[in-house]
Amino acid sequence: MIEVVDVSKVYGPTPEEQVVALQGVSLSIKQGEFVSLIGASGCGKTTLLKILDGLIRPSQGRVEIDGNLVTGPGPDRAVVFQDFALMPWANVIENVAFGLSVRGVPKRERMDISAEHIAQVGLVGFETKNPGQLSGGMQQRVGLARALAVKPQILLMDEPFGSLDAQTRHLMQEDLLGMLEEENLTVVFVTHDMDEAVYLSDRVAIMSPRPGRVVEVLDVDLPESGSAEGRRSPEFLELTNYIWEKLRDAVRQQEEMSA
Amino acid sequence: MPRKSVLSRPLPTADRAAGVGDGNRHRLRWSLGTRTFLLRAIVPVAVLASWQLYSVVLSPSLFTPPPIEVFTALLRLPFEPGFLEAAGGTLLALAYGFGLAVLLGIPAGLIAGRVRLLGAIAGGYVALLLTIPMASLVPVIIVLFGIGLEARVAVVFAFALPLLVGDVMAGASSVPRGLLEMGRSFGCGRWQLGRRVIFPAALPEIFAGLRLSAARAVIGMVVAELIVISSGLGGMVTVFLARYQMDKAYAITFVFLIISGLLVGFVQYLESRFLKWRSSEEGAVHAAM
Amino acid sequence: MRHHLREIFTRYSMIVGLIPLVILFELVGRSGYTIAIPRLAEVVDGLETAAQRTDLVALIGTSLQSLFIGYILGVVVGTIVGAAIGLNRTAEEIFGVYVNMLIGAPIAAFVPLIIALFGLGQASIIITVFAFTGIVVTVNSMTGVRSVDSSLLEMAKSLGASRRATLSRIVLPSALPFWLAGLKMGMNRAFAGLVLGEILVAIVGIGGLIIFAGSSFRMGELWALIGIVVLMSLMFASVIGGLQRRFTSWSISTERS
Repeated sequence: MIEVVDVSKVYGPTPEEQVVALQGVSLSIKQGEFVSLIGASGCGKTTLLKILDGLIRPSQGRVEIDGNLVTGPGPDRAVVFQDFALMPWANVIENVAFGLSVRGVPKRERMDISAEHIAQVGLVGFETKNPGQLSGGMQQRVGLARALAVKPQILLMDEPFGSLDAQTRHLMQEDLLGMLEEENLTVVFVTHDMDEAVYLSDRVAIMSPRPGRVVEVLDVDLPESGSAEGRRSPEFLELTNYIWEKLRDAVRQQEEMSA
Repeated sequence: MPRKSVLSRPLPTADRAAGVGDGNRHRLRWSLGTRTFLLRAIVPVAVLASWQLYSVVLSPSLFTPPPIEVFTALLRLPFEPGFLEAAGGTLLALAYGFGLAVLLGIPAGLIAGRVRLLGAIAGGYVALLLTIPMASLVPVIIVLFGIGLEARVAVVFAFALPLLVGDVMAGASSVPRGLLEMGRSFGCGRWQLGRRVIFPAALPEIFAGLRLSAARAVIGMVVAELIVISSGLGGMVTVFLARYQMDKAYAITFVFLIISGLLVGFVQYLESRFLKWRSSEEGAVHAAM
Repeated sequence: MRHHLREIFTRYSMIVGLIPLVILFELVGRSGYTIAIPRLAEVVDGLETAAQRTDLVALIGTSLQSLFIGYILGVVVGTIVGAAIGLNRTAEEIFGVYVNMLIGAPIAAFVPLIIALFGLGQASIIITVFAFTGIVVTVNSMTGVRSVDSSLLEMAKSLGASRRATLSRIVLPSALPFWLAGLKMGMNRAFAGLVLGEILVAIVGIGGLIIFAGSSFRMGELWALIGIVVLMSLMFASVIGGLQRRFTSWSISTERS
């Protein structure tokens, strides 16, 4: 469904000051798949996600969705942001309805649809609250509801649980899987947490920095039920350890570089 | 009573931990409220009392009328011949000047805040206009516009505009990038982004600018009244001073202060109505603590 | 090399920014669109005439004298009062509200009263400058002292620092950027007060000359005098800006991070 073809992204005005965020990345994502992009900071995973959404244009290469070239954001994709990106001046239901309102959906309809999705993410009763009155986890649920409300085919999630504490994060991961069972979404999920990647995904694309590229793509062949015990199974640990081995050197290098 | 100072502030964490559910502390907090109010109220009373003392007992002089006389003069002002007309003219200049500054300044600031080149240039000139003494340009404005309403409107405008543009620019250029990306990802075009994301996000800063600019506008109005030989309140001050009717002259000064307070207060009221979400945010933060 | 140039540019950007305005001025002047804007040659002539007719240097000197006396008085009194209010919690509770109200208030409204009380002379000007400066410096000193990072105070207290040491080593340096900003704003307000005062008094200093030139439509002279005032205010602002940069580079860098 999604074809990433030899995508490169370079920043910088002159050759000396250039940063190669992505180099020659190619990836195929099937419909309905849950694919994680994991890597140390600077590996270009967020850049790749933004290119998928059309927010950034690649310097080279292209992205095709069902054969159509991606040139900008579109109704088939929706993003969930790491810092929630909620409008503090609007309440929950207005935030959820945002994407619909931009598209000109009439008020009645968009309120109804929003209410549905607010229920879906478990925030009934909070419709008139402002983001400032919500906890981090609740705010991200609003972000999720907003993305789901526009009925996308592809959900792009940029470290959505990164700003949450560990417990909330686990809860959100479980709830996310639950919600996705009902939909038939293709999900591209950026994370730096190996547990999260293995827990949620069908496939994990391991990326490494300087230049940003996909090093390997793993198949995650674990039972989908995703229970608490599942996280401790030997197969699960084998996978997460494997990923960690691949990442470790890059993470260490990153530490040394920023020192 | 031990003297309280910045240095003897209790350590915040211990304070918070001990505070919840402590009935005594609650009572203390309530009485702190009225106590503060009373102490604050003493200040104007003390000022007025010492003024009264000075002008009646210590140094009675034609030029320092006691507050009681000023107050009665103030109350009688509306009946002073020509006052209502003069006040009307002055307020009209303020309304036109400030209104014009708002109508031009907010869009200009929004655009300058988003278009980097314009912003750089505009920023420089805003800083320039805010540094130089605006009063020095008033004689030029008089030559350009004469000594009627237009001149005073121009002065108010000149005083109010730079600050407003500067603040609106700052607000528009500091919209969080994440919100802008979010807007674009959901399909906002340029205009939609401006209307749905940039403008509301910049609104707190815009209101701050409006408040300060309103104060500047009134200052401009006063300066205009004093320098431009006018038929407004400034003219009345001159007349009263010439006739040695000091109580009335002082009263007009207070009218200026009242106008300032009313206009700024009005902007603050608008601010609280349109930015309700801010207070709910702060309320939640306190509750969470 | 490029960075160095850019730094110089930003520092003197206000003065540099005048250049296009001056060019624009000359173009309008040449077109004769309005008598309010003459050609630059006339401005230069005006400067000469003013210098010949009056003792221009002495007048500028008087103005600057009023400015400095009023400014320094304002800074001294403002700093003391502001710091005193800021350091004492009760005082801040009581007076803080009023001090904040005073900033926005049109102090200009009091100038005619000041003139009535102190006469048509330099004394009124100095008092006006003092009033304009003092309020701003008071507020900034108050805010500066109040906004000392409480975690720093905690740290000092836990280390057992004496009151005096805390004041001099933590409060003072923390408040310094605010105070310097107050100095800058104070200078700005001082000029505003100077010009307004002198215009209203009309026989003193450069403001008096301005009103004289304006009322007799001697535009060349008028703009020359305005030019002098503008340049002086920009120069003094730059000087204080330089002081600010030198003494608070640490706070700027913490802001950025």
